[in-house]
Amino acid sequence: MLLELIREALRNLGRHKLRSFLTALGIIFGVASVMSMISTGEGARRAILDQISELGIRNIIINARKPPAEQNVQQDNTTYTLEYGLTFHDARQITATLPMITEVLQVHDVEEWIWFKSRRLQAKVRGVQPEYFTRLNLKPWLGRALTEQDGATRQRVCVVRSQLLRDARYVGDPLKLDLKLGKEYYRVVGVLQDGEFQSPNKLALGIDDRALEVYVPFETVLSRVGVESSTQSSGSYESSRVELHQLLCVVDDEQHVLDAARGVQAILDNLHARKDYEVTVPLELLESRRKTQRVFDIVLPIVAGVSLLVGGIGILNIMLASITERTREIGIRRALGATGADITAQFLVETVTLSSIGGLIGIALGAAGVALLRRLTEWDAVITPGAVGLSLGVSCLTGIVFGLYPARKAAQMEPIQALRHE
Amino acid sequence: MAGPRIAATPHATPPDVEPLRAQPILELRGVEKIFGTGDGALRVLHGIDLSVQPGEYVAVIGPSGSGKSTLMNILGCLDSPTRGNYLIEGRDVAQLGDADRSSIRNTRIGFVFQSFQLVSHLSVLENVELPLFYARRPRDERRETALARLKEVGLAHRLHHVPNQLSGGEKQRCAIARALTGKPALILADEPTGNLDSTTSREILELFHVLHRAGSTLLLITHDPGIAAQAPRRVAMRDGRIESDTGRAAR
Repeated sequence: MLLELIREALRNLGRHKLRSFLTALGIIFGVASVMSMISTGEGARRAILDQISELGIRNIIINARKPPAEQNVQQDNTTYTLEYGLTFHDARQITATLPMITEVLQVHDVEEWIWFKSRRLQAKVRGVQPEYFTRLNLKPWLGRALTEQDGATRQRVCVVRSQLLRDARYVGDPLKLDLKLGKEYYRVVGVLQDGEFQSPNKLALGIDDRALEVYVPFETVLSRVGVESSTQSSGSYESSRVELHQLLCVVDDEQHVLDAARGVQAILDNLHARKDYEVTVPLELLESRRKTQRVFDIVLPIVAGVSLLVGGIGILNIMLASITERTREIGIRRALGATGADITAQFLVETVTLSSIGGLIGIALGAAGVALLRRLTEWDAVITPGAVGLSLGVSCLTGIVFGLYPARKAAQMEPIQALRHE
Repeated sequence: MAGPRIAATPHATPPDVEPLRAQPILELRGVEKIFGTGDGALRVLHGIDLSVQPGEYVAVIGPSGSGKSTLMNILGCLDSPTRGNYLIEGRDVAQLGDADRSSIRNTRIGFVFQSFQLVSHLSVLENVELPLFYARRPRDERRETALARLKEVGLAHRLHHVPNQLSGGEKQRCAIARALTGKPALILADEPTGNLDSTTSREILELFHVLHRAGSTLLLITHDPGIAAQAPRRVAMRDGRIESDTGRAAR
């Protein structure tokens, strides 16, 4: 019965193709815009979630920060060593004071260039502990990650990003590659896949540079390079001493992350006279991102609602006209035994069919728009089955809501008057 | 002494033997119809009593304004009387809701209108199928029945034409076929020849005769005495009253 009503509805709509198309246009554009909005929103959301889960929801990251410029300007010409950043003492103190922090991973950055033959590579060299890889979900795509053994025996090995191999224009087995760091060569033992997303959001979180990092064993760095470094900039030597550039604290439970972060903050405040560090809590970032997302979640339904309202009114208008036009037919059908409910069903099915077809076209249009957007911009838009289902559901619902009144009106016509209608 | 008394067997009175007769298909009792209210009220029917037996062929004749169209609407369950009762096969229409009235129109009554009343965008076959669609019959059965009816009225060669491609006579044949599809108890024809030329009219009336002889109950409404004369029973109306009722089937 329903199937036949749909077939009949399709025929009726097909008799006035242009009119039906124009009527559905509102729904088409409404759904298309909703689709693309959901998709881009979803893409952004996923990118954020990916990055944050990459940083680890139970992690607290403390980065060393160079103190403000005026403090390192020295008037005398004696060699001055700028001391800043995190210390081994900080790490010990955090481990000892905060029981909910189960691990404190230390990171020391090497302020040296890394070379492949005569090519200087744009990469940051980080001395890390083996757990660093597991805590940040870094999985080797080729070879292996760093191990306890590498550190204990001060191996000169490193793990690189595949992007680095491309930058070096190196062809051949990556695991046979030696890179020069300082005066010594380091053998590549593992290659990490590049990050999947490369979006503006990542830059906003300040974690995009990971793609250009080279990881070497922490102990190797400390013993072979040391904690002091000097760089030449604008003709004068600048020497600095930094024990640790980053501390990665792992909290035992998600619930304790914020407490732990406050604890860490308090300890560091106490130990550091200057603010030469920065605490990043991915969970907090996630929360604030969720808040931003919430704004989007409010705006989106409003925009969607307005566009569908406009589309729905278009449908309502045409259906009312159509019913007047088909008054005679309604009278005939009533005389032949159609109940009021039959007439309601007929017109409701017709409206819903129209709005659903509009919805389908809108979804296709939205999907095409999203595909175009992906191609033209770096924006990560994702079409989820949920978005498709929602769009279809909403267009169906629009048909029901705006079709009900005309359909009821048709059903309430007096059969005799309808029959006499010219 | 009186012998043992035998209890008298209850006196078997013969039941009131009424003349065996079928239940009338339709029965009007004091039907009045008033349009509007108050001073502007227009009284169209003044207490109509009418009863039609199965198999009868009745012509209702009257000039325009005599109330015959209003009568037809009431008989067709398209309108309800202001006062009085209308019983169709013993059921009082006034007591019925929309669904039941629709069901009566669907299965008990077949309409033939002066202006044919075919759905213009449906084919001949689909028009004839319509009553069965509302009777929720399966597709195949609908097609089969509609085909059979169209053959009966001699329109089997026009199945996939739309009404606009038919002549007046063909349109009316299509409408008659449609009126017949549901095997109705009563065929109501309102000026069925009003829009037809005399030759075609004769053909249509002939078709009614064929149906009558096959056992259908027909009620034909007309203003033309010539057409009314074809029917065995003639009910003349004037000013909302039945003026005469001749040729009534013997009871």
